[in-house]
Amino acid sequence: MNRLIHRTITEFLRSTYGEDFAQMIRDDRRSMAAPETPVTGFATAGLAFAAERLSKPLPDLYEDLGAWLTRIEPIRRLLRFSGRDFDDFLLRLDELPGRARLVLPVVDVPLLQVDVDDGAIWLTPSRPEIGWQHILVGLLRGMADDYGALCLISVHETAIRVDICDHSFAEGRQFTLYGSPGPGIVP
Amino acid sequence: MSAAGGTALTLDALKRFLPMHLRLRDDGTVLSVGPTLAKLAPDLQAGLPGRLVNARPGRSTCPLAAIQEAVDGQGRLILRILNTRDIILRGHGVRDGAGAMLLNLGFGISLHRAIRAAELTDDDFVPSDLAMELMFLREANRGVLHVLSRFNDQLAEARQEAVLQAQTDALTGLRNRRGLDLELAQALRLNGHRQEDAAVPVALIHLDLDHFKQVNDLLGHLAGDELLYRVAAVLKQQVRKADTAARVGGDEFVLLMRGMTSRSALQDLSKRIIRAIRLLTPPELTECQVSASLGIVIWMPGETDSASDLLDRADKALYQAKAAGRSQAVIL
Repeated sequence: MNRLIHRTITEFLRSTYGEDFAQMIRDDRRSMAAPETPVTGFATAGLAFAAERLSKPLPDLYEDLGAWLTRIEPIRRLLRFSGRDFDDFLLRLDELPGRARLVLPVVDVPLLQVDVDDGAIWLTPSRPEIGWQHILVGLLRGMADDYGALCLISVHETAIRVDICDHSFAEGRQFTLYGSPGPGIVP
Repeated sequence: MSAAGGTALTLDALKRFLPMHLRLRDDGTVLSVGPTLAKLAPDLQAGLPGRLVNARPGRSTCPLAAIQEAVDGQGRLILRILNTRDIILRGHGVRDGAGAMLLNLGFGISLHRAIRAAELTDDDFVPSDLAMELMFLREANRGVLHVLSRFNDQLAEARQEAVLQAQTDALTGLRNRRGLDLELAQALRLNGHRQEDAAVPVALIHLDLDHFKQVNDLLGHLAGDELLYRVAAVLKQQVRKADTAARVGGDEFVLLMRGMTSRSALQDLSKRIIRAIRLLTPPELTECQVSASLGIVIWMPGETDSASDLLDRADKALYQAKAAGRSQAVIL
């Protein structure tokens, strides 16, 4: 599991910042002491090192990671199976943790509460963890693009607010049920 | 459809409610076809023959008879669509108020083939259908398996590399003590246990450098290491592919020569090795010349298969060679 998270982060850094940068982070991580902290903390340490080296806030990197995930074709397809349009996708996001568990039982995605209030959709993770919250924000941005919707996404303490301005702002990327998913969920 | 018990549906409602239905009379006249089913069998409205067959093994292929049996016997129906590959329809049926047969069908495990064949979308399935979930699981499962099998391959490769490294002497690239033990044990284990791998005789050569200590002491460890590396190159050159060359201690080497029983050939080999090693003497070493002493034992199938006995005997032979003035080989 750790390996999967580690590999995902490495691939994300490589494709975003280049091979040399990814290698530098791998070296940073290698010199780190063995994990006494929770193991996922060790697996995600690469992202913290990268944030430091890039002088970028860690939440921003998590967000980029979330958006990057939606551009991995097999993952994008799995997400598209979860809603016929962006509205449907958002309203059914409470299924996301269950779906994630179906794919990888060891990934502990926090439960998500979906509310509609003030004309906006509110998503509240059951645990206030920066990582998950910002990965989700990135994921939402990526999927809005994918569906061709225009929306405003903002973070309010532990919740995420989504205002949809236009459901069919752009063409959206093609999705067919029978399309070829490509080989693996991590490049 | 006529009203009966207040559950009558208009044709339009029926199509929306059951997109995979088929409604027909006992004479085979098709009354309506659900829109999703119609995508897979576009001309089904014209009649069943040539379009559907009974897919239950051991029965007549006549679809109408199978449908009637399933409807009136309250059994399960398995049909196959002709001219499509491997798409099976599963379902059941009832008689409606008008006495017509109403079937509700599904794709079962052939779902993904049906989706591909008819380019079906989310809209072709009712919300209660688990089609989307099944497709999700199918792709998720494939994606994860792919990643896992790649991780497995990487682990297997890393393991193989680690095993090889664990049996290799880092300085010279020859086998190390552990690598020799494994090779020797294997050579002796074949001693009559398995007919197809008949044991062959083995010559075991224990080689020790003469005056290596002086090289180390006078010229430094770097020169010593350099010499060991070049001795290893000599040994690699002198053994055949099936043989094993190992460094088992500071300046001690062991050669395992398979099928070698000729004493004169072993003496010739020893002379060649000694000559080549003497040539490796560093020019800075003026007091003495680097050389080698060799102790050799020949093992024949049927003798003891204790590796340590064999190594002890080779060690004794080496001691004799040293005692007799070095730079020579003793064969026991």
